[in-house]
Amino acid sequence: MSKLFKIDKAAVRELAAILKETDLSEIEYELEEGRIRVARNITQQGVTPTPVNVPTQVMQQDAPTAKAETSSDPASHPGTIKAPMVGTAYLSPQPDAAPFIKEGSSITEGDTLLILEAMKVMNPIKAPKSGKILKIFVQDAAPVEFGEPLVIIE
Amino acid sequence: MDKILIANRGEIALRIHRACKDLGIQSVAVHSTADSKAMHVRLADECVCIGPPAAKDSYLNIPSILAAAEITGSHAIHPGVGFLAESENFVSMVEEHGFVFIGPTAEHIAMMGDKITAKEAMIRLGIPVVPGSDGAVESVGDAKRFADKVGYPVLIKATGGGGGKGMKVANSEKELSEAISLAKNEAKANFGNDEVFLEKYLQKPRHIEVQIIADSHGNVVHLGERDCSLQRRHQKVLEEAPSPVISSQQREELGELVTNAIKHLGYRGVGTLEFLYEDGKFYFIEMNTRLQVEHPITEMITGVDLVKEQIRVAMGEKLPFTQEDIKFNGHAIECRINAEHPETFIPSPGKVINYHAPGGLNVRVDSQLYTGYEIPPYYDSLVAKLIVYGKTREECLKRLDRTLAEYVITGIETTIPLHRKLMQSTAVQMGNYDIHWLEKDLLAA
Repeated sequence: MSKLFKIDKAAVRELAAILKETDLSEIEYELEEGRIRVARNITQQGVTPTPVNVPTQVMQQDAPTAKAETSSDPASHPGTIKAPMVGTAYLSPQPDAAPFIKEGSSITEGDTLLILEAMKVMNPIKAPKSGKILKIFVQDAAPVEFGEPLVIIE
Repeated sequence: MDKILIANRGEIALRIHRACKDLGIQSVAVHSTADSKAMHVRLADECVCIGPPAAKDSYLNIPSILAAAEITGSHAIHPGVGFLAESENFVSMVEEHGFVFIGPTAEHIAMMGDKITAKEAMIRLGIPVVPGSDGAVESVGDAKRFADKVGYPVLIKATGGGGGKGMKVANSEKELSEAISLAKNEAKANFGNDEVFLEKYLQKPRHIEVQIIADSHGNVVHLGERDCSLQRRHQKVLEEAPSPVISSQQREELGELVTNAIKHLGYRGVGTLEFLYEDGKFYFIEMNTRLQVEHPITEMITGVDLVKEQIRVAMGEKLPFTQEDIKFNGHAIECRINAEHPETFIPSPGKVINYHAPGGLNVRVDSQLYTGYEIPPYYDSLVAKLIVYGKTREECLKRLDRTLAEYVITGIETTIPLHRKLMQSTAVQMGNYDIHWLEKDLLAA
């Protein structure tokens, strides 16, 4: 469900500089235009599009042009788990509970990775194989479309 | 109503998107993975991928469509043409989940979806129908008795059918038994229901349909007829409005008959009543409880934007016109252009290398094509509708001929050459054709 949005290069550069300076490994910053997460020791800069059900309609679409892709295509990693349905993603079993998985955690085949909810029905998405969570793409309570990359299991 | 989800694809999805934007309403395009680069997906305010290419997993996938409506906060769903547009199950689920369905009620969709109940309803409402068996035909004996009454040839039709499938002709008593079992088998395979009924088979009818629109305040208006007799395998190829053989008196009489029936039903939204016309008489065959592909020709001669009015009616608004306000001006013709070889009709999906649509006064193109667009192989082959208007039928035909010559679509095969052939035929020039002419005369030659 990505729509074209303007990448604030200056903001990203500034955040990257702050990262280096302070020796942090990750900064997440919410601007009007969206949320930016900048992390070190990962080659891509994750730029998270604002979920479409947020009222601030800042997704400008120049028609007809190609949609912006994040710098390395998450869909092409062999361990990418993609959404088998449309719905809202929940990363924890309950709102205040701990998330099912974290980046870096080890999981076994059959473990619940996250929940996709549609029309009040909760569908657990299970790990098809054991491994380590390399990356989580989806935000808690974010809308998700069919085929959208959710996590990478390595 | 701030946001409408378009539960369809291709040129009709683009049409609906345009009506939404003209009304200042946000559009949501749902699409399969094969349609990610479709023009209406690129233009829509939001898009949601709802499944893999197969229609049953995407455009017919009700839970996926409803989930997409939920996560985008859509208020209403427009079903377009085909797919779920006439599924009473879909309508019920849409409404149960709190969305507005842009169309009639599930009850009316169900009534007209079953050809037997549709005919019974029309008989009760005083609309002439093709003489037929009263209800389903259970045995060959039943069929024989009926056929003896109305005379051969007879047509065996699937009750739950459409698109010309599950229909077989029996020219004499000898052919009856086989025709019935063939029709039943085809019906079972296509619709999962082998119930059939019989009708008198008209030899050289024209297909003439009447467009109606009704609001939820009791106002029903007819927008005239369309002549859709030029067909191949029961698929319309070229349509024109008004029909070259219908007089304004006939139009008025039929229009009045139809609007009274629809008023009586309490129907809401757009609908089209299809008739066979032979020897000055109209015979109802079926009603489509949705927008039709060929709606643009009615728009051209009446000036009414049917999709906009559909949306307004769904919002509970009154129609902005009465029957007296509707005037029929000039003549319009639509050519359905398919991605098919113009002679073998073998489908031709693939990449459009060069695309240039014709233009000029009174020329309209409804198409999802663009240079570089890849036509997916999973869906129907309609890729463009060329609609032309003229003050007279003659002017319209001339303009159509010119625009067909101007139209450039390379990289794929299209049926443009077939349409150019139609323009050259005496039958089309004189308006002198019936529903068999295209296949039996033009193509057989």
